[in-house]
Amino acid sequence: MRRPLNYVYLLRFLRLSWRQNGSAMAALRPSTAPQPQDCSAVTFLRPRNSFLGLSRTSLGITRIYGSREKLGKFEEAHLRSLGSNKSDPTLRVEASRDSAGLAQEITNNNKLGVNKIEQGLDLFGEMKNRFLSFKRHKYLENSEHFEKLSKAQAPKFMVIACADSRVCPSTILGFQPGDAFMIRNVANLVPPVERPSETNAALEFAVNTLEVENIFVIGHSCCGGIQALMSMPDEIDRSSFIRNWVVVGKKARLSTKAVAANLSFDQQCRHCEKESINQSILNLLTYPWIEERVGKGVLSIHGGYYDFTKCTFEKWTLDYKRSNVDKEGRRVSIKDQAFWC
Amino acid sequence: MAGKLTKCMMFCCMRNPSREEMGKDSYEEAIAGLQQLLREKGDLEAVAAAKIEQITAELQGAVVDGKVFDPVERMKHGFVHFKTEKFQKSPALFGELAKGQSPKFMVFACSDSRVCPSHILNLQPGEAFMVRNIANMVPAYDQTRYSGVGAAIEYAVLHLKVQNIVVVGHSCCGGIKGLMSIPDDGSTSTDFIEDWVKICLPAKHKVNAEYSSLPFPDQCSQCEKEAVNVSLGNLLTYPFVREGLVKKTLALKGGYYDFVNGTFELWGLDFGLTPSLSVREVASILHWKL
Repeated sequence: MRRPLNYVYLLRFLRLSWRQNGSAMAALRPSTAPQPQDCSAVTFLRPRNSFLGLSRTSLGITRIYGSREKLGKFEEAHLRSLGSNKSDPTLRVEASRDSAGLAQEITNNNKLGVNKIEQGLDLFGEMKNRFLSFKRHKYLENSEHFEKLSKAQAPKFMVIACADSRVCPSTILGFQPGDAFMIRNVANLVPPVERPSETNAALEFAVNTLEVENIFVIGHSCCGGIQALMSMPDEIDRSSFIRNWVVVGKKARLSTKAVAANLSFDQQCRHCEKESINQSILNLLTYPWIEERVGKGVLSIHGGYYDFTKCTFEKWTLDYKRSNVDKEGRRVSIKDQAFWC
Repeated sequence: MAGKLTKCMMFCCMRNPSREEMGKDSYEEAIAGLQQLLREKGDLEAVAAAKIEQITAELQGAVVDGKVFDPVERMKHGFVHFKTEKFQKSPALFGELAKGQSPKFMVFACSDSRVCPSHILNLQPGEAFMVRNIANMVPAYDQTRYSGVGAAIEYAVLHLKVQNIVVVGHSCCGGIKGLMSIPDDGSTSTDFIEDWVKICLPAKHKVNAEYSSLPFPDQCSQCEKEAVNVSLGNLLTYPFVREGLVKKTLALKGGYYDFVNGTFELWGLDFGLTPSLSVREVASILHWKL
């Protein structure tokens, strides 16, 4: 279903990426285009992208081919076209438009912009290499397994982890493709069923459709979200998204302040990181289809805590039968604690 | 009786009975108990036989490569491997990461177990702040319903100062299939899933309008890519994202991982501001006289 024009856009995008020291820089130098008299009042340019039904002049698509051979041929073709067409009039028009827009800002920002663009292109070049490496060393070497996976997934785990760049469960616990259905959000929080959120849909899919056997809530040390929760003023601040979200963990904050008030702020945060995991486990039980399955013994809920300062991992399992409702509400009772270091 | 007593004494004397030995003993006791019951009540034999067959089938299903799947052992093995092969081999990197993170990427990916960006893009610890939800969707700015996503974007853009936000879609997405299956009257049959995937309804409408002749699976593939574009557009509803784009400190990218064919597509969203034109210039362009 590829439209024929895409190949042209493809080349333009790659042209921009390969010419890092040449024309790309020229595009940002002030041109002879007339200087605007007043740049302070700006108008929005509608994003130049297909889904808004506008011209696809700047939609560059990079198709990363699977095999080396294909890649080689493609690069050859593209280099040839580069040499034969040194000045692309369309590109120049775009370049001059860009530079006019930036004219007022041509100070130190210009160099910064150029460096960032170069870095950006380097980053995606690197990403391409990594994908090809994944394809070569994992995908093609386990083609039967990946073919089976492409038809359906049957993960045994659902993992709820923090979005923090340092704690991806695939890395620290070695989950392979097909192993774990994963939800990642700020501070690995699970809101209760009555609070609208994006986590609800993922829980419903994993438990009711995929029928996972284990739910694993994984927290971690030095969590920015928990730190934000612990340093929040008592009145809810509606202006900040972060505060609006982490307030889901407020019970953990209350119980931390109750038992750990004499500890330093950092130690309180450590305590709250673990408390909030248990709070999330309790919130999981507010979903009737989760509680039903846990009661039947077909679904287990586990908590985990990854401390990346010492590289240790604590794990525990919810003892559903012993988690009773008492005056203060349900308390988590745990079993099968383990500490890996 | 005497035989049983001997066994009991052995238990107490053994320091650390292995799990297997203990399992074996409890199994033998269970079988002995069952045999005793059947000797007393012969009419239960049919029921017992049926139940034993059921247990046998279940256990056969649970055995993988000769071992029963143990989730805890699996994770422990994974963690130990990470610690020995990665953490301990790069002390400088992990020492820095323990103090703070400064990822260059924020990635939105689907929760699907087959598409973790850490695998397919080999992202290392510290490289990407990652949000994973059903069908890798980014809803428009909404402090009440979608504060989770908002919090993640706010944290990534304002605090971590990521340089790139990448929304990665994928083939055979269950969430997108669910979106494409919502009837035209908009009625839903799930508690939460359909309300969530309706975020990308514009993608469904576009696919229905432009690709109505395609078979359903191909329509879903188109929708998977269009939905990424809808999410990129929704990112623009966050003021701090717009600001980053205008200042060129932030870039938006869309991606698509096709695990049936083993390919990865990447594209960009351009967003910029033109300088304003003074009225005089406009007038001259339009040949009016001032």
